[in-house]
Parts: sequence; C-alpha cells; structure tokens
Amino acid sequence: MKFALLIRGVAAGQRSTALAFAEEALAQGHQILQIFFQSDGVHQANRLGAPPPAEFNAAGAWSEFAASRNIDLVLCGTAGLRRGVREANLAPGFRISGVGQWLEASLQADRIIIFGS
Amino acid sequence: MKIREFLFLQRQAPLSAGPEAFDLAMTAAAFDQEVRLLLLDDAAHWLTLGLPDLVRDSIDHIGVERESLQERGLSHLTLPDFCHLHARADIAAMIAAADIVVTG
Repeated sequence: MKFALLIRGVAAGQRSTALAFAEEALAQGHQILQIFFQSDGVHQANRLGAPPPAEFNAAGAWSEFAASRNIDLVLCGTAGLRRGVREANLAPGFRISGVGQWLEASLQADRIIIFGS
Repeated sequence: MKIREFLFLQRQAPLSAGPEAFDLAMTAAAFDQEVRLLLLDDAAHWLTLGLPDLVRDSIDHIGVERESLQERGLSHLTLPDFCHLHARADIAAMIAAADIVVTG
C-alpha cells in the first residue's frame, strides 16, 4: 500500500508517533510516497532545536530516517516562514516546497495519514 | 489528473487554527479536486467571520453541523443560501463517502 503522511503537530516527549508509523509501514513492505510537514509540524525540521539528550530530537531523527530510507521529507514553505524555519536552519533530508506537493502525493497514495491537528 | 473527493473537517476555533487551516482545502480546490468543507465543533465560529463568503468560489460544498451551532448559541445566525446545514447523525455518511478526509 502507498502512504502519504501529513504531519501538523509538534513532536514532544520521547518518541514521534508519525516516525514510528513510517518505520513500521516500511518494515511491513508498504511504500511511503512522501512525508509532508505543515502548520506546527514544520518545527520538526528545525535543525537548531537542541533538546536535552534524554528527550526526543525530532529533526535529528527525521534526518536519520530520510537518509537511511530515502524518503522525501517536504516542508510547507509558507508555514515554515511563519515559524522561522527556512533553508538556513533546515535539517538534512528536508526540502522546502508548497502544499501542491502534498496534493500530488495525496492523489497517488492509497492512504493519507494525518498526525496532529 | 485523477479527481478525488476531499472532505475537510474543520473543528478548531478561528483563534486556534487561523487561516492556515484552509490552505490544504484551497489548494485541493485549485487543482480541480472535489472539495467539501464541513465546520464542526468550535469551527462553527468561523461563520461569524464570514468564512463561507470567502471560500465559496473555490469550495464545492460548505457545510455546518447543526448541533455545533446549537451547543455554542449560534443557531440564530443566518446561513448563506449556499451553506448547508447537516445533522450530526449524517456526518458519518459524509466521511464514508469521501476519498480523503482531512481533519483540522
């Protein structure tokens, strides 16, 4: 099955549910076409975040995931500008684009899974 | 391009969500998709800001849940004639009929 993930919330605590879902989906042989970050979800792409070692580092975890699994991590540019996330502080593996990219992926996907409201 | 029916379920009040909440819906409409927007819960307050008038040219169907209006004392509002009133009991069928449901 082809999934497109839409992430609209901030990852807090020890783990990202979205990342866990993505890892498990791939492990079960499914395909992830794209992971799109919009609204407050764009905070997860800010490489300048420096949580304590015991806490979850969303940007670092996503970068590692993207590099190891070759997954397209797309950031809504408008939402990023609103929140100070831009090319200069973008974590590796992310790229900035527009909502149209999300729509294209959603038209190709069998399922669209949304994390955050 | 493949045409899909998108149902955007907006539940948050204007102060919580802001105009960004409708970016996805407006983009889907711009790509000629079938777009339905349903205002539920605190999103019923969008009516007081004239939201339906702002999006009516793009969105195919704009609906409001009757019970959400009643619970917030907004039943007195006069809905534009292009804005549909839905009973809570009918929402599940709308969700089931959509290809893609986006909540916010």
